[in-house]
Amino acid sequence: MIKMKDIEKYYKNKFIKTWVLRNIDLEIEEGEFITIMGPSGAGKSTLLHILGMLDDASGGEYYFYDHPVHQMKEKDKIKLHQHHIGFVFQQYHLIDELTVYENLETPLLYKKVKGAERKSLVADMLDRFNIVAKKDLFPNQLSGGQQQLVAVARALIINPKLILADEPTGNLNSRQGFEIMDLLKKLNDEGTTIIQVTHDEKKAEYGNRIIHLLDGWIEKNSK
Amino acid sequence: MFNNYLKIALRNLLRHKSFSVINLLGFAIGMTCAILILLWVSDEVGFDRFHKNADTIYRVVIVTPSSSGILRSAQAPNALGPALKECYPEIIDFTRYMGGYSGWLIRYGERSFSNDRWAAADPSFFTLFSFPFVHGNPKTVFENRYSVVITEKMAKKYFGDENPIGKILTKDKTDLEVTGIIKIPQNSHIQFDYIFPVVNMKEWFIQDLQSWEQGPIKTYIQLSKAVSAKKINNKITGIIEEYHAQSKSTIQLQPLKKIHLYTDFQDDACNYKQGNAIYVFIFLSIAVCVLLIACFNYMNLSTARSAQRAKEVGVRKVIGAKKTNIILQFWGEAFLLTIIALLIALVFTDLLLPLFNHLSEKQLSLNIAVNFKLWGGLVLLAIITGVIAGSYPALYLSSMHPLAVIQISARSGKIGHVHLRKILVIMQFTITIFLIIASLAIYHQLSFMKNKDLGYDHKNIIYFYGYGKFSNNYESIRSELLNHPNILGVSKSFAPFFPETDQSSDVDWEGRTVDSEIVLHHNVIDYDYLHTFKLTMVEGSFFSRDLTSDLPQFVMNETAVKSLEIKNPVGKRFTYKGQTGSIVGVIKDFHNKSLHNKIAPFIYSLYHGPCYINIKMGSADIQTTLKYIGKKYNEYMPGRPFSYHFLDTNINNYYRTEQKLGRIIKYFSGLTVFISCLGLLGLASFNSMQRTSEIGIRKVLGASVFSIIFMLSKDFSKWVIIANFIAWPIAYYFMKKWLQNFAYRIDLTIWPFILAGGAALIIALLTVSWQTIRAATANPVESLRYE
Repeated sequence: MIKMKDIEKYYKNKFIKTWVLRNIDLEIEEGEFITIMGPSGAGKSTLLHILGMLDDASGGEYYFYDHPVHQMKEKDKIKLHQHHIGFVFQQYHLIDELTVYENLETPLLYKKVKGAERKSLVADMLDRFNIVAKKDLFPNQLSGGQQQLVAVARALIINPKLILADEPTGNLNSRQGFEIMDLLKKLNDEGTTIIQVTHDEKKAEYGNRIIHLLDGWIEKNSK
Repeated sequence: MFNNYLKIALRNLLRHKSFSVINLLGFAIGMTCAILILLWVSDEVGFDRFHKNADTIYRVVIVTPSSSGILRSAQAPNALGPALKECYPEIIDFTRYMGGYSGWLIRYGERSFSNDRWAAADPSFFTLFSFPFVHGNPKTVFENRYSVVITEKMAKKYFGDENPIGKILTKDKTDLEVTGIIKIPQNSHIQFDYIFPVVNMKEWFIQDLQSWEQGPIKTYIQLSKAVSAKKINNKITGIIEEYHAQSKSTIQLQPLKKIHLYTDFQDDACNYKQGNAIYVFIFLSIAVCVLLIACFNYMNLSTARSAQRAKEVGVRKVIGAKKTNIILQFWGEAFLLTIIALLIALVFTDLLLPLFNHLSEKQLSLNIAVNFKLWGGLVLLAIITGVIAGSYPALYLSSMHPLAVIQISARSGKIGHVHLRKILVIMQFTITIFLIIASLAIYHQLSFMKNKDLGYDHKNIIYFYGYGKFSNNYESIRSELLNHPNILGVSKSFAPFFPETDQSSDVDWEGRTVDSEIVLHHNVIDYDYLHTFKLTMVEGSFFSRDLTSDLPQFVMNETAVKSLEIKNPVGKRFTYKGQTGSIVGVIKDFHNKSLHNKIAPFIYSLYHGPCYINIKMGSADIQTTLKYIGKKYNEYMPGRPFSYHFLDTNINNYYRTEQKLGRIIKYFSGLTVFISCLGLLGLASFNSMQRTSEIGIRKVLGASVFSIIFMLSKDFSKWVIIANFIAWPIAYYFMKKWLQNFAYRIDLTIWPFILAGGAALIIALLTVSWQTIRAATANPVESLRYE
């Protein structure tokens, strides 16, 4: 599903290159649950952003379902990402001005899904996550766990092949955290590929493969 | 998708109330100005366009070279029109027209009025032009030479609800049959209350209709559609000389549609307010400026707030939004705001129209129900405003990288172009300061003209036309009037004090050395003229009852002596229009024209016929004095209403356009100050919010409240001061140019500039003071807790 060859990322500041990622070779099969670990500044989030096409690598090759992402135009990347990738952030990043229902609906609007289908998709999702009663609330009326639940639902609504989760439980208490992790596990069991970034050893164990990053290098890639 | 945008936009509007109020108010005021000005402009530009043949009608302008430059006038020789039509098949038709003057007594049974404006024209007037007829057939109304066509308004006044057609109106002893009722639209440069066939002007105004001399009547022609006006103009330009060898005048064709705004000579039609394309341009520019200032407010506040919106943009991009989605969203928000503002502006406009009509002396109305063009214009206005105002936030926010946006904390305020904000505020204040300077300079010039010693007494002087019997018994009436203690002087003259009509180059004098053509203004007056207007002599003597002569006597002003280059003028022979006599005196120069113009060379001669009567009153009890004069008038002219003019009003009328401009600019500069300050207020509050922690830290380190206020105000003051330096040269250039309209004008001193700049600075500081003081006096612990 994903193949990375010699991916590197640096920031240039006048004469100094600051390396973030070096020489990343990575293959990910469909249906895997990958955990990326490493200390702060190791390049975890950057790798996740490159995987999610939010950021471009400075060098190397990246194939997503055999599409060469490193050669793609912005427009095609958006399309690919619109159809296949869902994001979950540590800070939830819901749109404050929209209700739960509207937040779930927005990705479908950008995908130009027709009204009736949209309604049924949102209703399904609300049902599945047991948040029907909250559909007219605004994000700041929900607890952190509930917000993250909505964020996961929003990532899921486009029926993505891949979910990228950047410390999804970082802002949650442990009970809420494990609930979200259980949810991700369940999604993975149903066939969605998941890549998460975390500091937490316990939560790392949800994955079936752990990639350790250190100073931009892959230090360990173990099942 | 649209619903989603709308929802977000509305929720944002409600959530950030101060932002919304500032922007809505700014837009609404800006749009109100724009709507008012656009109404005014469309009225000005629409003059005379209602005629079906408007595109092919031209007015003949006579161009005469003279020593004092090229003279242009719409008054054409009476024989010109018929000759043009006969000789040139391209000229389909012509009409001669003169009108707009009042004073002729018209009777209907017992009722009589003299303040209706008369006009005279050829029968073709009604087919060439297309004034709407209420009754009567345009082709036949003037078949009988003693017929008259009156306006609907006059019909109501004379006949009430009776059918006016066929009724008889009497002018002196002539009966005129009413054959038609027409309407004169307000935006017509031709204005009158009743009109009769021009042939009657032979007797009533002593006009030779076959004459090639320039008379008071104007000529309009209609060209066939196929020909170019330029070609015809070239063909006919020299026609006057062909018929009238002495004349050096040539012809220029002036398109009907351009008469109102582009006539660069004094159009002598009374009661019609000549327009000026420059003022249309000025007002349009003001409208654009005021709107731009409101747009700048929006851009500024939006970018200041962009840090807060950035997160939303980032999230949207992550979940699949394209750049165009974001652009549309932010533009949509701007549109929503401008549409709401438009609705508010319509209410404002409706409320302000009476005041604006008073200021601009127009009868504009906001007839949205019937005027689809207006609707289109208004929607267009909202759209253009939205496009401009929304452009920067839309393009700027949409181009942000999703990651950059998500990773930046919403309060750091690093996003949002500080430079752009500075530039926009500076531009706003540049415009504001420019307008304040302009209104100050205009005010200066106006008060200069008001207080200028014109060289004669114009206070409490009235004049009126002394008809037949009144003029015939002038001497005895004069002594009766002078019996009244408050009547200080009585004099008569052929033309009112500011005559525009009689001027001629047909002059000669003893020892003539000047070769070029010299045009002299001429007025005929009587012995008491000098005393009535408190004029003074510099040489020789004025006309006197004791100094009679069989030959004409002339008095001239100093300017005339100078331009004729006569040495020792008193006693010299002088000929005016074939009348030869001698110069008896030289009068001290006084302002015999408006202050736009240099003092004109004038000669005066004596006259005894029917004339204007000028009466100088003391300031004691004007009303009783006027009543006394009215009573005397009616003793000689029973049944004729006594109507008179104050000389001061007349002088005032010369500066009406400028007064109007001054008043309107004053109001609009006030509004721009207000809108700019609204924006500043918004910026100041964002600024102090963004710097809350900085302020807290500074205070913990021991900064005084004053030093923090100073720090926060410094930027704003700097911007306003920079704006001053930009506005000053621009204002200097334009005001210098404007002042060149006046032959007598103020010197442009530094004071209006300093005053405007200082006022802008003080107002700006006061505006931001509330915010800065609040920020500076806040408890530092409080402000640091946010971090």
